[in-house]
Amino acid sequence: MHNELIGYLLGALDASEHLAIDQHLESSAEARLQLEILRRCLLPLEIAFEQCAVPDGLARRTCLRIRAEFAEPSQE
Amino acid sequence: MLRYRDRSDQDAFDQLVHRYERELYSYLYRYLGDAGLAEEVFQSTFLRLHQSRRLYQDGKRLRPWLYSIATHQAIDVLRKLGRQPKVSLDRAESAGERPDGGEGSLLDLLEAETPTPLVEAENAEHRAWMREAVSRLPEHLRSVVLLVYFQGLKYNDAAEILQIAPGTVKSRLNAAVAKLNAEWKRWQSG
Repeated sequence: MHNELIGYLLGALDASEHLAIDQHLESSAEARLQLEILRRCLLPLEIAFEQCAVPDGLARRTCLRIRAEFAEPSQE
Repeated sequence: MLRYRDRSDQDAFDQLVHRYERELYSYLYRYLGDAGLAEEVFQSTFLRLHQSRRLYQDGKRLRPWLYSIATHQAIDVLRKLGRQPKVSLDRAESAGERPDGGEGSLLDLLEAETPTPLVEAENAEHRAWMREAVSRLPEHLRSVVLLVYFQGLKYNDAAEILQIAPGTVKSRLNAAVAKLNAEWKRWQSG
């Protein structure tokens, strides 16, 4: 259940698993408490990495590189 | 992807690269801890996608496949370099300067909300610590944290990317969270 609660918090479960946890939480105060503890434990991870800036022109450079690959004689 | 696979439609490929630019680069930057390496692996990922386009099957989801290629490329790069992701040395120097030596938990991170310079400095220190702690995780745990927590992927998608069972993804994520919490407590008490 512990593993499922982490997945529930992170939205990592599929729809049926998520629904099952919803129903379990409705009937279990202990599960709700465990969920809250896990939620607070996970929050600090959000600040671990600041939003990283994508280098200007990354996609364009990548496309140009692949175009160069296209230009070469096919090896397939 | 089908348009690209079947007709080598360059415009379709360009759209794919632009669509995944921010998401995939962010993943690689977090995985590798280095902007230059992240760009190199980003490009090599799409190069590999291009080379493998004939293998793309109807109905197959592109996102897990793309992440799988990127993850393998990143692992290869780190192996060639013979190192773990880059770790900030600044953090190691400031770790011993904490004024309080009391034992705490990750929950304590949430309680210092007063926006004073001291707290802001501590928050920066916490960020550096957490970034370093994540980068120190064993590869099999770190990849799960990055995919599920930071990239927001489903357990099943992470399992497909890493070619492991969904249950293994769950247990690894749980282990990673437990390990980070334990290290946090050690750091606080040390």
